[in-house]
Amino acid sequence: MTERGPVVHVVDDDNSVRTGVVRLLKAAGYEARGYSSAGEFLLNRSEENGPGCVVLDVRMPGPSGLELQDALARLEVPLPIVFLTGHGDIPMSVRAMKAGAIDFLTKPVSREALLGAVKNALARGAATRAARALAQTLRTRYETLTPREREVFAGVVAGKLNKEIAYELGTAERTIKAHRAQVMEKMQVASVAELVHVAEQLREGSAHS
Amino acid sequence: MADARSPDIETVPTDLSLRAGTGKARGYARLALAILLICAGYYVTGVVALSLRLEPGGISTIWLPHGILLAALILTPLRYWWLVLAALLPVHLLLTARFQGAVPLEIMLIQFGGNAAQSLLGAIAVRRLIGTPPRLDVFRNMIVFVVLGVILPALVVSVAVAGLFEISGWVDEFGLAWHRRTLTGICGALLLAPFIIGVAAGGAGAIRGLPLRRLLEYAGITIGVIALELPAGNVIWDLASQQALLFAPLPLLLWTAVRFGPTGLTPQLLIVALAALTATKVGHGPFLAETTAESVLSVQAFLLSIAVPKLLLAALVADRDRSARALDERLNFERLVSGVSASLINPPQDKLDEEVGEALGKVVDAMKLDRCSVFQYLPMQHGCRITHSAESAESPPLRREMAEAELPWMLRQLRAGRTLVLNDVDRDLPAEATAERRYAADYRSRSWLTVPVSVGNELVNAVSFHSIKRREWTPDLVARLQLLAEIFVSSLTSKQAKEALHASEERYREVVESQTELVCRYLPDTTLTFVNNAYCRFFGRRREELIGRKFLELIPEAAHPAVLGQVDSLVREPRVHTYDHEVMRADGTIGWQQWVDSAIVGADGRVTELQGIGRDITDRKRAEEATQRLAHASRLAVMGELTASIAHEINQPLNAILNNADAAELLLETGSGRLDEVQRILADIRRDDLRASEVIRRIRALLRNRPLDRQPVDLNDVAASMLQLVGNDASKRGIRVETELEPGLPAVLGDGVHLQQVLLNLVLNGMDAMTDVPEPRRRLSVRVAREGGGVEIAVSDWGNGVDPSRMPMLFDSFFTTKEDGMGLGLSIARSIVEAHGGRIWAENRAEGGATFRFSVPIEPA
Repeated sequence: MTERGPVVHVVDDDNSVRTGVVRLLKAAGYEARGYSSAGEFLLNRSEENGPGCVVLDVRMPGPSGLELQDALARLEVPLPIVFLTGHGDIPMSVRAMKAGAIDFLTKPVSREALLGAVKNALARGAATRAARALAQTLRTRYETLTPREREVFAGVVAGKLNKEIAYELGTAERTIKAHRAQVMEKMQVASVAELVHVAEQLREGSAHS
Repeated sequence: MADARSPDIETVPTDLSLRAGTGKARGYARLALAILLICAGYYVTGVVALSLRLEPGGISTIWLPHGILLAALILTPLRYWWLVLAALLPVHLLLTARFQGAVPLEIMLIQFGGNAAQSLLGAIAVRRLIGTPPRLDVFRNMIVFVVLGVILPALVVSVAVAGLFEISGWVDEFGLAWHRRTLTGICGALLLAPFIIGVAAGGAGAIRGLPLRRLLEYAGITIGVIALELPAGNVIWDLASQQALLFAPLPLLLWTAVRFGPTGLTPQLLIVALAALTATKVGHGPFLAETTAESVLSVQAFLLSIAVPKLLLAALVADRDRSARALDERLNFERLVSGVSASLINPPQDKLDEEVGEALGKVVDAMKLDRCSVFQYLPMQHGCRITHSAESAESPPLRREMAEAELPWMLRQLRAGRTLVLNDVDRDLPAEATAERRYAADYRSRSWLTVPVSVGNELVNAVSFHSIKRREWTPDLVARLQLLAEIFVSSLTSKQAKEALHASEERYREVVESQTELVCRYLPDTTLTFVNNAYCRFFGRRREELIGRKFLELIPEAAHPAVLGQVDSLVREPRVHTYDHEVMRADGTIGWQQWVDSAIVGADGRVTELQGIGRDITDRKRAEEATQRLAHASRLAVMGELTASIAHEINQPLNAILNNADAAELLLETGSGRLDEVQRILADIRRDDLRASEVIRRIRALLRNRPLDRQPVDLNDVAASMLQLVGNDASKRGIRVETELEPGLPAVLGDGVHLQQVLLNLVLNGMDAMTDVPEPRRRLSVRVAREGGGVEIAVSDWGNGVDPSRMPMLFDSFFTTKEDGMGLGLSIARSIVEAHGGRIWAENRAEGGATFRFSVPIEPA
């Protein structure tokens, strides 16, 4: 997978608003693309996992901004969302923020506010992407472990002694030691503390998915 | 005679004849009675004449029956003469047989034949030369009667009779027989016939009609004559048998001749004759001569010498009297006519009826009538009305209205243009005129004359003259009364015409004055020339205060230019024109009037005057203003509801502008901006700016408080721009809005803003109605289409519909189903639609939801 620059997706049914926003983002050096509806955005999203963010109008004919937000979450599209609204109302903004929106901007929106929000979103997006990438690596490594090694891994991470693990698994302490070394190698960690941290990351990643 | 003089007069013959139409039985009864009377008279006078013969068995001295026979033939129509003669023959035979003893039949026949021939000749001459009725109180007629009716036939016939007597050996001496017979016939005729004829011609009424004073006078003279004659027969002639005393009664006879005419004179002459005969017969008096024959001749000569001159004198005096009377009458009549004409020529209209009444009264007095009345014929009402009438004290008052059925025969005659001349209603009305007979009896009309007055061929009026007593309407009199009738009617006709004109003016005036509408006329410079009561009332001024002043003074100065402009445009282009303007009312406040003005164009084609019909529309104007204010308030409220939506509408372009401006700035800062890119940005900024200002303009138009301003409006535009305004609100509420416009709609005449408000109201109501329905069902459809003579907008929602029990009140003020509603929206919508001449209504649809519709008429081409 090749890493590309971030793309700002602008979804607004109003031509003028969309053009203006896209134009501003481009002038600020972003790659920006406009979509006139949520449907158009979903159909034309070429790089599913490319970096970027979405600038989304809350009220649109057809699926509204909030509905698009739900759909992206279901699809595990890791694009942060900046909402634009002509008439910000509190219940709607609360709902949007709870669902993970980065910002909720009221039109007319100033350059600073928009660019700041987009920058913020992109940063958040990048961080998320990095975390995800790491979790993916760890999982891949974890998948190279044999079942016995995964049992030993769980025991080590739980802070058990080799003797205890050997007893629980019904094998010799020396065998456990060998497995333990094998695990440390496969997971590319140097210390038990590191292994515990990896285990935590893996747990978080599985909780996320 | 009369017919020749005035052909339009229906004259009714007045002789003793039987007239067609009187009824056959009645006619025969009358004839029989007449013949019976003639026979009786013949017999009685015959007895008297024969009793007073001076020589018994000889010829009578005065053959009175000849007078009866002559009078009878003169008075009887030719066709009944044979009947009279046939009836008298046996009477004559009886008479001779009883009193003359042994007279051979042929002698008797010769006698009667002679008498008959003599009477026939006389009667023919009289009827020919005098006519009927034979009036002997005319000098010429009396000469004809005496010479041709009496003397000449006697002379001629006696020659034949005396000759026959001699041939038959009845007399020895022709000369004696001839002069005896001649004289006895002449005397008999002169001493009896004038009286009978006079009475018959004048009728019994002629005697009854005499005043008591005159009757007493006549009785006195007659007694005087008798007093002088009776003793004369026995004493005076005996005591002083002097010729001088012959003339004792002459002054009295002269008196009678002068005062009472031939009719009055004859009986007295008869008395003198009978007295002379009686005296001579008993052997007294101046007429006793050596021989009887001489005595007879002496008596006869005496009587003739008195009778002939006296009769002629009486006729002459009567003639003169009549001429004098006629002259007098004519003079009186002319005085009457000129008096009546003068009073009727040009009396004040309100006095005319009175004048006509008085003039009719004068006619009644002067013509000695009992009633004189003017009828108006009313063909449409099948009857007539008496418009004016004057009556004598004896005449019963008339009813004013009469139906055609009460006088059918009379009206038929009048319609045919015939004057009705009825000397004696009993005799002269035809049998068919039963209704008229009853009418005459009811109103005691004995004589009756009615003159029709027609215009063209149409009977218009009639003038009726009545008398309680029998009266002869002589042609002269008829002509005069016709003249009077014309005078009356012509004065009344002009009055009727004036009245009709006046009535029509009055009607017009009443119509104008009873109007609650203000009516005025004014000159092009607004000077008032006429105002009606309503106008005066409105301004609280008197008519005199208004006429001659300019109505502009009654209008607030600010409105002057507009009003003058309207008047000018009317003067330039005459037509009927409606306009409103403010006025200063009587109480000093400002009111409104609406005027429908029209220009009155003179003969030269220029506008000389203008007429206005106005109404006070202050209340309407105020109501309109109130509605307008209310509508405005309601619009403000609606706008409040729409604030979010409106903010969005404005924010969108503002947002775009801001972004574009920022982008341009960024591009310029970084120096990476290409010129064409910046140009595109600026173009977009301009477009978005215009878009924002358009939204603001639209909102301002909706929010501005202003009166209805009707212009041609395309309802498609109204709907489209309205939906743009609410589109955002609809999507916020999750409502799908469907619009169906009809291309090429004709324009309606209306105020776009007001109509937009109506639509806005319906759309917002429709959206409100769907708050409780699940989102997928929320649909609102707006359909604009041509329906009949108007354009209809239908707004359908998919809510729960309108509670049917509330349907009737839906458009009432302060009726609402919303918790926070005022209940004004739909009522204002209705007043706006109705102000456009349209209507608004609602209905529930079977599949659920309600449809509200309103329609506005298409602008008349």
